Amino acid sequence: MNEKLFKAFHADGHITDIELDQVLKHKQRPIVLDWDLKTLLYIGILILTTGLGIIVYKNIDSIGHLAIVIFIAAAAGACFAYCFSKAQSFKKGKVSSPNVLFDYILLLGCMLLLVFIGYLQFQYNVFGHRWGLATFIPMVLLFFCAYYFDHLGVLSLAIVNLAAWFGISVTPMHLLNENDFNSDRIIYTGILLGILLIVLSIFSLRTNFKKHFAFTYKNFGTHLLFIATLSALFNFDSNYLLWFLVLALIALYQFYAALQKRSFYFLVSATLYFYVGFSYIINRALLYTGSYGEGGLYLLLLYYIFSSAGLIYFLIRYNKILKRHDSLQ
Amino acid sequence: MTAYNKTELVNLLAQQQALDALRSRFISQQSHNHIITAHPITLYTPNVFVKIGLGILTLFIVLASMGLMFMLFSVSSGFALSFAGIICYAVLEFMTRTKKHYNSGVDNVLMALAPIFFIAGIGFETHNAETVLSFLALLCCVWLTLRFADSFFAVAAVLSLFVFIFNLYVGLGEFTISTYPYILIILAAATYWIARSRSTLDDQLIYQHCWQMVTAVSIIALYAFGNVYFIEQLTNDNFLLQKNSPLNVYWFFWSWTILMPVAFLIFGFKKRDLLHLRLGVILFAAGILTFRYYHTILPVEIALLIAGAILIAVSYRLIKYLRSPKHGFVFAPIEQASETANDAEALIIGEAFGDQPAVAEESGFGGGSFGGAGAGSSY
Repeated sequence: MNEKLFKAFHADGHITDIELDQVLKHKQRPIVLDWDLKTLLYIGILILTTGLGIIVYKNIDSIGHLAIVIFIAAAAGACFAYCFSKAQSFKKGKVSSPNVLFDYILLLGCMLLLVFIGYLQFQYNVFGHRWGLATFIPMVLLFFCAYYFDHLGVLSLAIVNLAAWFGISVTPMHLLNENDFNSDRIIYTGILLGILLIVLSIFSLRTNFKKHFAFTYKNFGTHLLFIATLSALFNFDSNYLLWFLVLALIALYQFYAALQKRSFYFLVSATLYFYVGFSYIINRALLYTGSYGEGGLYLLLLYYIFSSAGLIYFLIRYNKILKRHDSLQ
Repeated sequence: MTAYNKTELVNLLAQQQALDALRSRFISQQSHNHIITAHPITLYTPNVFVKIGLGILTLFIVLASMGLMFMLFSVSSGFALSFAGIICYAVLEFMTRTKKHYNSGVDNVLMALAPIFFIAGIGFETHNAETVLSFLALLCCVWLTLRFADSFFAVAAVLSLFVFIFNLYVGLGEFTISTYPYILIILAAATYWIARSRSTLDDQLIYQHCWQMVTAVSIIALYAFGNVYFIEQLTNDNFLLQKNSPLNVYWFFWSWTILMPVAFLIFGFKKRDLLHLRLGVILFAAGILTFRYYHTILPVEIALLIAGAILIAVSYRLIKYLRSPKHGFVFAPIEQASETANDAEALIIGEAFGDQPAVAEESGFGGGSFGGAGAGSSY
């Protein structure tokens, strides 16, 4: 903190003597290493488990799969035993975690659980060809843990598993890379799952049931829904105008919801997703039909210049409207 | 000098400091409000998401305009690109002076594109002119830093200074091969010293954040210019001669690689300076990695196991030890992590650990399988 600045504030009468004293004393206060030490702990755990993983992998012949499965199960069991012993009773609202380590141990337990079930399926083929069951069971367990222990990270894992059970990847990096959005099945599943997640988000807000989970649901749901709808627009050539209408309706809904909640994040994403869809329609009209020749290209570039400028004006305007109270929800 | 009114920039700093003080509960909400009303800002800085949106759209406009310009006049020379850079800068001046955009996304994108287009355009028209180009880059970055008080360009300016001096020095003759690291070290030490002493000066108030960033970059550079691996790569990339390698003085570079981070750590601990401490830890890790690159003493999994165990033990002990303040450090969350941070953490966990392959359709085989025991197929 800049001492001179605060002395000036004091001279101008903006802050009291005691407040100035507090500020000037801040240099003698201990420095908080909260974030630093937690990060080191995280990295340590990551390095240690990687080392263990490699050791196990290299010595799989002498250790044997059974021993590893038993070890993983025991470790996961120990984590959950700790969590159940420390956890506060279940509440509909937000429950703060009993101590610093609790959240990490719960997360470790959940990840070991996933590895355990994966291992059983991979090595012993416990679920046979019913692949769905191998993701359904961890999904249910993860949702239970997320709600019971009130952990947003585990909720995130649970949603990813829910999507895996539906047959798609939803994590941000994988959303575009790993899904074959040319497949009809994936597009329809994506739309359905997106709507389901948004409904879940509204449900948790309306019923006040773990209200703070709403953003995580809505975030996954919104992006999935928009990307799936855009893919539908690009792929289903015969009735692309219909899909454009669907996209417009979703964007309109999201836009007004964002205005109501005063969320810049969803306002901007709804606007940009709609812009992508709209630009596709313009692109198609000017280039693919071929009726405009080279002039089409000029028109298209002009379209991008003017539409982007218009959109900038639009965003600046709505930024002003929303400015007073913004939130992420 | 600045494109913005200087009072506005000072007011901006005053508002930020007041918010910091309010969050640390040094001042009351009422005093905070007093300070805010006494230091008004008319600069346009939107919400971060709007900023990203505006940035993307500005990029669209610039690219489409350039496409249009190149098509209409059917030019594609480097000079046309440089001209585009100059136009970007002109628009930037307009947006900042008349429209008062400050970190709005629009000005950030224009500010980045203007020097890139300008210098790349000249680069296309010239050959083997690294020294001139790095000097041009230095001039552009210094100007943008002074004019817009932007810390990103302060960092870019220091980096281009390093490149420029390196190019200039090695152009002098063959004797430079064995000595260039020392020149770079002296240079980095100088930028470090200047930036550190300037960052607290009163007349540098509006450039404070720039000097802080330069300090951080100088520390990293100071270390890198004596790091064995970095110097070896730099020598191999730039010279074919190996016999005069600067690394012949191996004791100097090895002690620099290992001991410099320790020096930063001790300095950071004594001065209670988080920047030096954090960078010290990171550079220490870099030193160990450098050492392992040349001397494989332990198989990788054992090394990971030991390193992980030490890290966990040390950080856990420190968390316990610093429950009550000691030596001016403490482990205690003063303020509740915000909702936003929690939401972001959840997303990161989903991304980092939620690597669940999607279920394949029931009829097929393959796909839908799980990796086992944390080891990837690359081993």
